[in-house]
Amino acid sequence: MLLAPMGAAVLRGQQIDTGTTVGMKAVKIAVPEFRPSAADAKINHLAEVFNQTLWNDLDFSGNVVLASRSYYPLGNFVNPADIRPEDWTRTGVEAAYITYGSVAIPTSGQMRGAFTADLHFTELKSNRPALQPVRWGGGLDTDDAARFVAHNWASAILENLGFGKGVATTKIAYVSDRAGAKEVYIMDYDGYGPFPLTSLRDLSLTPAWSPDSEHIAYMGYRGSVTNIEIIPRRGGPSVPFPSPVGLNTTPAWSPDGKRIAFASNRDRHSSGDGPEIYVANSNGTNMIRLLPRPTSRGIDTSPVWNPATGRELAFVSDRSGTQQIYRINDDGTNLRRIIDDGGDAENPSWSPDGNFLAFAWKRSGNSRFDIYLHDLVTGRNSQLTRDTSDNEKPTWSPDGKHIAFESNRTGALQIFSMLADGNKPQQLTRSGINKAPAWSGYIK
Amino acid sequence: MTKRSPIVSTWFSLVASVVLHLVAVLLVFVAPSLFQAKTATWGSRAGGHDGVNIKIVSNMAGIALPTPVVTTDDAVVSENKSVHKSEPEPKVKVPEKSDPAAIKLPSKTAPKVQKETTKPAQPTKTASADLPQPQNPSNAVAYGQGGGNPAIRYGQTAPGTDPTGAEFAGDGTFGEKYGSYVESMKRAITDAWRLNGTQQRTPRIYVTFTIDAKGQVSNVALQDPTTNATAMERAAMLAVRTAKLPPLPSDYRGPPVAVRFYFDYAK
Repeated sequence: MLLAPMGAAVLRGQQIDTGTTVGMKAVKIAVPEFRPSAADAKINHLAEVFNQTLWNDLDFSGNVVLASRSYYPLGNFVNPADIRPEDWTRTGVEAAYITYGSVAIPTSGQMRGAFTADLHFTELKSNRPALQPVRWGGGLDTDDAARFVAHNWASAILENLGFGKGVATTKIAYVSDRAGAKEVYIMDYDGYGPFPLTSLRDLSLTPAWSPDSEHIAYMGYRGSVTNIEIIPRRGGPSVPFPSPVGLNTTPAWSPDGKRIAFASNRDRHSSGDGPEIYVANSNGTNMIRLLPRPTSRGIDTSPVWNPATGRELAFVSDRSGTQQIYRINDDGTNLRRIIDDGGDAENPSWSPDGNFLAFAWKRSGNSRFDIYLHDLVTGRNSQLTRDTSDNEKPTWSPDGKHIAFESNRTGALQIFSMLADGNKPQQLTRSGINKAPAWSGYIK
Repeated sequence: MTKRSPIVSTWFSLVASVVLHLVAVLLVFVAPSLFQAKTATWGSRAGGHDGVNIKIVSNMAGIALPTPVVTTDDAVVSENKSVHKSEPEPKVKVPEKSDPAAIKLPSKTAPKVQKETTKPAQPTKTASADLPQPQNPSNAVAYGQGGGNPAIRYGQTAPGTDPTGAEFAGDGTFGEKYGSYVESMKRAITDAWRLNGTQQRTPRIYVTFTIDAKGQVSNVALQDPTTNATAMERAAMLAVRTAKLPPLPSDYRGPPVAVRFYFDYAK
């Protein structure tokens, strides 16, 4: 049995030979409720929290379609023996996958007293597990623990299906005055578990995550001084840039985490001069002004880095008379305008793949701002929000499929999130005034 | 003819017998080196003119090659250690099979999950009205409409879209056992595939690559590249490079998986 020598043109015994076409069908998942293992009020409540969180995480992922529970068969779905694939693949349900299991608070053993879930994820056509069944514990018996397990399970499912981790385990930093002074807060991507990070008791604004999501840079007021400060996301001392001069605001980390761009008016010659764009090391040393003094005037602010290249920035400037968005190399060369259609354009945010800018635009003739996407490849703009309120300060999720923003559609400014095509807007904050969201990366 | 005496004959017979015995014993020791033993060393060409010439296939998925069986034709059954060691019993490794239905629980002291003896407080069937249904507010721009195509693809395509175009061929071994992984791989690549509406109809673009155990992609190449890679070819290569492939199935024990993947722009 001699095997013939393989030429380049011959299919070399590939193990997979397949492909894709435009308009692939969405993948549908059945998500029956995970059963509480005992008729106990606490476990029932945590089961409800877990089930709600898992459903919302998968539903909002933008990647999968959830089969409606109206068509599910009756019964408890806890073990593989409880699943008859034909019940879930027939007309009405037509699911390709199912996730199911049970939840408990063990009274003995390693996970004693903690919320735990027995988790199954099965491919229905073959009736085989797509993920090996596991038991995960949340550490405690709290709502947070139930949500934590649900978020991580949703993330595991999406990753197994080929969509990456999604956003279920990410966070959003933002500014809130719910406790009095404006401080930087952090919440889960779905609005749960908010807590204050800064405690300057003055003004803390414009938060920005480091690329590893371990630190937040922000603009802090300490009395009369406004400075860029950096604080660990788990809490700890807030470290200001050395030798602050003038107004320093809107920090943005370079994709490699080594530099921070920000706006400052430290070199202004008169009270009419506005801030300009500076780049410094991430500890505030070695500050460089991006544009030479004589050709800059007015206000330059809100710099953001191109996350794909790390070698250029977008920023807002009123050098043409109105606020517009420009791009520039990180050495100050090749300045050019991006949004070229009049009105006022501000708050640029660069998508993780570098192909889109989200921004807030008040078009000529309009009195309100809306969130738009600018496609940097084709030059086209598309509108994402469309109502009678102001929608501003967009920020991209790390999976490039979601955007958070601030909106006054409910009266006071609140934080919302939505899919990057404008669908499924979700209100994330409710108390006080909340604004300036910044979506984290993947937290390790 | 001189007749030998009986004593001489007996002595002669004795000597001849001893010599013959010595020769026989000598042959036992020397013969294995004089005559090449036909060892069945797996894959070698030294098996003689009627030996089997087999080339090791490095990417036979899912089938673990058995460990070679080493035998010696002339092994002598003897426990005399001063002469030679007895051959050890050859062991044939049986490839491990994992039962896909087995439930692996990481906790070694996993507590017993209490079996439900009473009906749960909540009804098992929930009316759809009780669940938070996804809202599509009037201000949302419907996908594909409005001021321009945002050119972001999700799993939320319209019902009735053509699900085909995903052919499956090749030697079939991997896909038959790990069909779910193949589907996830297709999803990951399609998800990373940037379609900005400017593509034209074109013959299928084929990209070849390999996937390692961690889901890392390497050796990405166009199968039939044009002289100057078109925008579609670049988009196809980029999709493969940036796709978020999951790790290979945990019970797959083979080498990195070779893939040929097509991109079909025809619509």
